[in-house]
Amino acid sequence: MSGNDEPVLTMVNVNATLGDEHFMDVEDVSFGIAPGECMSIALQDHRDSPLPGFALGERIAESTASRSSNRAQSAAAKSRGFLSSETAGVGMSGRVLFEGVSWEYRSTYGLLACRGRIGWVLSQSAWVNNLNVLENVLLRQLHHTRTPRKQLLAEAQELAYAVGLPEVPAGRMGTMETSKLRRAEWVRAFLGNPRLVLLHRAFNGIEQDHHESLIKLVRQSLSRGTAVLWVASANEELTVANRLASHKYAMVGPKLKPAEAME
Amino acid sequence: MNGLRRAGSSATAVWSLAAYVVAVAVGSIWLAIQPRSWPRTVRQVFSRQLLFTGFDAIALTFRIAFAVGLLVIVQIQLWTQSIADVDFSGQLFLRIFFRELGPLLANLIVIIRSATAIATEMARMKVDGDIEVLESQGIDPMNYLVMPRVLGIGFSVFGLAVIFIAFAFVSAFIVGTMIGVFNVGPYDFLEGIFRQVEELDVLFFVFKTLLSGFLIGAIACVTGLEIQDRDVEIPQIAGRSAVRALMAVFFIAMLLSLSAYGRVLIFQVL
Repeated sequence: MSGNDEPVLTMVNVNATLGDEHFMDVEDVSFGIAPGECMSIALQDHRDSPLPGFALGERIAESTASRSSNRAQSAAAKSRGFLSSETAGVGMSGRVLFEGVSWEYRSTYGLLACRGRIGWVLSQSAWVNNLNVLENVLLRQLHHTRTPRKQLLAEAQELAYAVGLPEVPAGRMGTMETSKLRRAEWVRAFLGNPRLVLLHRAFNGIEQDHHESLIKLVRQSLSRGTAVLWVASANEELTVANRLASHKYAMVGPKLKPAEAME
Repeated sequence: MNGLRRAGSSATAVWSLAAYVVAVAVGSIWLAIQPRSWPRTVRQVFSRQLLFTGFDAIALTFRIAFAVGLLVIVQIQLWTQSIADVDFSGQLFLRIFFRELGPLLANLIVIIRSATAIATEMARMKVDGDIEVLESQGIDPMNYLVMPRVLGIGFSVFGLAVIFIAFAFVSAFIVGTMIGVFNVGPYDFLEGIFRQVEELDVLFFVFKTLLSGFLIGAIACVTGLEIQDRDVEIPQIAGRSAVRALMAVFFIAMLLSLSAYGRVLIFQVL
């Protein structure tokens, strides 16, 4: 753990009755992840967990006017692994704090800036389709920081090597194979030394040969003080997450239980 | 009674859409005057918008301006044979090109080339979930997608209208001289026009082009982002945004003409 032990991400009594076929409900979920810590959560449900979405402040603090609710957007959100506007927020209670401040108390600019320090790889690929892969990978850093583009490119290149890509792909998403795209998402998530990384079934679509390099990436990032929330199904990914995790939990129905209690 | 209810609800819908579009345009301008709204990603979107909407449309604007200049001068020759009075020709061209045709045709070019494309792009981004991807990276779609497009379209309309007017004058003069409508030199021709220009004309022109451009941008974004159903609506979005933008352009032209000159087209109202 790094010097400052104040949790990067804290959830306090989070309840969400979403009643949704894509997302599971959660009941009375509380935890904290300090810098340099990894927390794993085992999922037994085929549905996605809403916790990474809550960690990003989705639906707890509405940020922009564009979050209007309609069928097209809800379907799109779900297909990318994000909470939909139709379901999320329904029956939601509790508090989610990032760097000690609840999302709901952050200003719009504060909320956006905080999200700029959070990397994520969700269960489905999520890209901005009118940009190419390289532009997507660099977008968050170019938007939120003043780090020179050259430096970001060099860092992205280094991360790309680390996950087994010869370079950061510059092509369009439609022309690339799934495994490369998913690994490029890992590059995007870890670029710029984020404060928090959310991994949710993040090995989806990536061959086993590359898993070790991804684990190494997480380990390096943890050593630099990044907090990691890793939500995985009961498979090889969970075994890996548990190897790195200092806190191991499992979802038992809607409740979060320490994994030791399950064994 | 049902008819009345329907008319009332459609009037309410038009009014709330108009209010929303104006709010988006004003919101974009408000964002634009705040330095923190201009990170390099937004600057890049803005410059690309200027390139696609403004710069790439210059060649088309030249062609249309040439054709319009030619048509107008041919019509003048049919009616008057020749114009000896440079003040009269100045006033004529000022009214035709500067007040009405320049801004109107620049708006039309931008609506056809860019507003429809922006509306479709926005709709596709929304149904593909790109808006969520942006927001989850802390990027405000209003700031990153809407604001640079609204501004880019506004400044492009202004620039294209200036180019249109300049080239329409040149075309009208060259063709007019060739067919004997003018028997003055280019300097006298231009001086005749500039002598007629008043401060109000310049103010009217700047305000009209920028305002209609900002509203076209806002309409394109709003129309694209209001999509409900991917399969049914994406093909309709382009047409819907073009119709709305056209209505807005004509309405603004009428409103501004009325407030600046007290008339709509040739009709004295105030």
